[in-house]
Amino acid sequence: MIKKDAWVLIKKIILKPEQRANNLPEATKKVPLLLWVKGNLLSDAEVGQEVEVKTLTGRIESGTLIEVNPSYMHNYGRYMPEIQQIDRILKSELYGCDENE
Amino acid sequence: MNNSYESVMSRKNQIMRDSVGINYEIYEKDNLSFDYEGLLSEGEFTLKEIRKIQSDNGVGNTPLKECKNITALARKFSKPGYGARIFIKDEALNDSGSFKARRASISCYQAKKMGFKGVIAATSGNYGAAVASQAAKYGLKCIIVQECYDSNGVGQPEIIEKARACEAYGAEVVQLSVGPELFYKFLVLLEETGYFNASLYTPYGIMGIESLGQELIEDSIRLTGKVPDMVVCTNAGGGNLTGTARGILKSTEKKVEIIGASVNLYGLHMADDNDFNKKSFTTGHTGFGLPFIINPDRSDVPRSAARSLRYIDRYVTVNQGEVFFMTEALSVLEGIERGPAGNTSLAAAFSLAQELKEDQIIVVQET
Repeated sequence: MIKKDAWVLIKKIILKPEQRANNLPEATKKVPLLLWVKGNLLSDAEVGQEVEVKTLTGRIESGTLIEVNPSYMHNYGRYMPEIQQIDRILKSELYGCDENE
Repeated sequence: MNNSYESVMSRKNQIMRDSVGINYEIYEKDNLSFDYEGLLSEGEFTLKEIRKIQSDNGVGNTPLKECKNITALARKFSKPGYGARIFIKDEALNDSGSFKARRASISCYQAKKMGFKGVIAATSGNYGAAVASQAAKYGLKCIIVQECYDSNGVGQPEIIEKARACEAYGAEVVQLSVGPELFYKFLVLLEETGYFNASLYTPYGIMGIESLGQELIEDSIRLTGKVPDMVVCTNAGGGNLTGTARGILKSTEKKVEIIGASVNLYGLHMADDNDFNKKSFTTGHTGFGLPFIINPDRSDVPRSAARSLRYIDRYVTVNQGEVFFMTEALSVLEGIERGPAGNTSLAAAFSLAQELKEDQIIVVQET
């Protein structure tokens, strides 16, 4: 049970495919327009339920509860070894080859 | 109130007028033209006042830095006697980390002055952090609307990072999946809250950049004794180039060549759910640059104050790999980690410098 007032992330469909603008590319036209927003839960609920939240500016938004205390877990992907090549090109062009040092 | 897509879009003009406090109709002359300079005098700000508002709020007076090693590298690939001195205006040192703070500063100042309780901006990049930061200074509420995820919920890390920054500054962040109907949600929020539309394309969004053009002239004279020969602006919606060029024109009578530079994203559709995560750049690219140069009024205000065709001398493109290459060069040769978006113009400048003589000056106007 997630308690009232908990800080949560909700997700909702704001336009179904048939309600969307009519000048969209095919891949976009067939999917709904989705919205994610965070807020304080207005009543006790479980993840996956339809809920209402009060956002930071005091607006009420409704949607599916998907996360409690939502965290930033983003990253910048795998290391690209090409970057080392760039560094080698730059430094050898400017300072000369130092392969033997 | 009916909030269907068609109904909200039909109320667009009224919502915009209420949310920027500008009556655009008084500037219309006929079906083809309008009074551009009249629009740009909204709020009756002088450039001196703009600089004061900015310096009081953590914006402006950023250093102009010479990239001596990158210049030396460019000269290796130039004809003898060619390879201009390359300088960068280190705009990342503004509060919130980009030149966009200049644009946000005047919008937030104006919103506060006009008595709005909050500001809203539709932006996935640095401008969101800039508005959130400036709103925090003025005690304004703030909502940032981002296009952030594809329909599978896969987000672009740079946009998610910008959401984190906006929330750190106390803003509410509304995130959407791919699609131009972001504008629809933006209008719904403006109507629901009555907040100020901190659009990038109001006169305030452009005036704030004029200080950048003026500063880089002053900086260049101080450091080199000369006005720059060429200034390269990363170009997307056109406001950066327009404001910089206007600031330059207000500061020197010498001809400064204004170059617009964009990342070439040919083949990737801006509104395509599948293409969204194939773009490594959220701005500074041809997906904004080309449509906005052709039709500036496609923006979120009735008449965009960003009109790059009035000021641009030449428009060049670079590819994503070239920008990453120069981002790496700035980092390992100059010890300055910036970008990548702002390095679009640095990548262009590396090539353009080779067309100019060694004693000439080329300025990359933001990082």
